[in-house]
Amino acid sequence: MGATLRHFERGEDESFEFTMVMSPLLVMIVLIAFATVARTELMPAWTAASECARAAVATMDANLGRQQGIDAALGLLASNYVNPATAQVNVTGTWQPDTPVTCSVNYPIDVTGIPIFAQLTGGAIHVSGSVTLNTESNTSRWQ
Amino acid sequence: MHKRFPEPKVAWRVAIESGYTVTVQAIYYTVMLFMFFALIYDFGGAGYVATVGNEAARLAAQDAAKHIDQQAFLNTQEVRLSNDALQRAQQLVNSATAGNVQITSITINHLATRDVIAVYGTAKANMPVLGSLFGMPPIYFPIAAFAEPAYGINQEGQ
Repeated sequence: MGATLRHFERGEDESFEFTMVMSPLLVMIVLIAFATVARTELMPAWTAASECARAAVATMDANLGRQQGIDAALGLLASNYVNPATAQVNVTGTWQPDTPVTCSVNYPIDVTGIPIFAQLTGGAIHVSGSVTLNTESNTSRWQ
Repeated sequence: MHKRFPEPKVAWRVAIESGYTVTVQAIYYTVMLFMFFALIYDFGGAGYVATVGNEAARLAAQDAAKHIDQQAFLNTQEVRLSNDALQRAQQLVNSATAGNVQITSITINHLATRDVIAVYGTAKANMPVLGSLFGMPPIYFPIAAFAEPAYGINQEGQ
């Protein structure tokens, strides 16, 4: 075996070993990045839904309640550095006394900076939160 | 006795041992990074559940504050919770937390100048990674929230 061939084969061995060593490490780093991003971005969804529901049940007018809820949710998302333009806020209810009003908030998490997940998910993972509260019962005539 | 010098390493042994060292390091770092991932994912989730649990309990307390027993107040001038207060609070947190929060009690503390509704419960945080690999049991967080009875509204604009 010539010196050149030996040198070439040793280089192949080292490349293979380097790949075998780095692959799991890279996978782990990507997983950590994903966990950090996903866990951080979960909270605003639920909090926005909660504030949306609270604002929505503070009136007996359906249109006003729906608008209040949406405004509260989008405002909270904006304050948490979530782009409100990408969020979907859905407020449902009848606004009859003591009936449920449900507020659902859904928005995509940008994972384009996380290599493997970006390819697997198309660059975005959707998170959502939903909270249901009841409107006022109008039973407050304390006589 | 003559001092013995270590036997010089031959080339093949050096090659094998250096590779072995790298392999051990790779396994070590992979395991360490995986543990970091598991801690971030599982305990991040636990923190999320604890926060959401407390917030849901606060919503339940505020909801209970709007539904006190009107007839009892008219009869006795005492602020009391409605009979279905616990069930109502549990239903509210179930819808908000996907069943991760169990309300254990909801009471009214009659203070000298005001009444305070107190909601107590536990939030269960599962350990999806550590639990499936090492059998780590779920973590339970105590939760508590307080609210004062509201007199509510009679009509729009109040």
